Amino acid sequence: MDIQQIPLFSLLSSRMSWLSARQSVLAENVSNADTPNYIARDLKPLDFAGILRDQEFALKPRVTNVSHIALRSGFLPQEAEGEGGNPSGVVSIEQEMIKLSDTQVHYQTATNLYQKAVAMFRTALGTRSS
Amino acid sequence: MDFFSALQISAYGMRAQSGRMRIIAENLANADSVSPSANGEPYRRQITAMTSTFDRELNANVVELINPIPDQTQFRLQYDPGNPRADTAGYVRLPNVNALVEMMDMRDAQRSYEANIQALEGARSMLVRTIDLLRR
Repeated sequence: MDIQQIPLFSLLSSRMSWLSARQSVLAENVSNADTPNYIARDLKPLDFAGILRDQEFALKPRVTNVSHIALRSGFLPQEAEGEGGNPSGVVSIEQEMIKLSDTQVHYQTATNLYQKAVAMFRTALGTRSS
Repeated sequence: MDFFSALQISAYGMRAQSGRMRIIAENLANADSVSPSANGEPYRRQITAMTSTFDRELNANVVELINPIPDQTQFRLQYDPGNPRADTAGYVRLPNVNALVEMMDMRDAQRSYEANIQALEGARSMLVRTIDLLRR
């Protein structure tokens, strides 16, 4: 059995890939903070209900022929909403820093949960984990 | 790989900011550079700007510095009739560099550079945390 078929692991891995994609988008915003006419972007919040629904009814388009174009995996960034008195689309370094640390914390949570889940499996298997 | 692209994006940002710093340093260093010849122009302030270009490999908008363009504002004039570089009215043309503007630009560049470092640190720690899942 594939470990990705266990709902917890697939949820965690999609959460982690979302967070890493967001990190890239935020890094892009920070590095373009001084670019004229640059519009700050952010990812849409991850839709857990949607992921769970997808798992229940796994009806997805597949690449069965080399000439098919695969659906772009990943998350499409869109214009960031203005927060904290900033108009939308304007890069505010402070706001980006807050988002960055938010991403960090959530990523840490996800990896810790992953470790815990693996430890639970170890316990169930009866191997003594230190 | 997303973390590596995040690191690359931050590195592009840092490179652009340090390039900007270099231009600012050039402007400040030449704040009093008069022309070497009797009726030539003094140093002209250079202006840079950032532009974002789409990098297909990274699949992201990376930042780059555009080539510096000369500032077209008037030169400063100083009344110094004894100076061999003075014009007929007795004025010497000095560079159009304003130290205050340059200092402000420099602070801005520093702040943006630090922000890029923060973003890079963040991506790095996430990457390390992922690798740490392999431990034990």
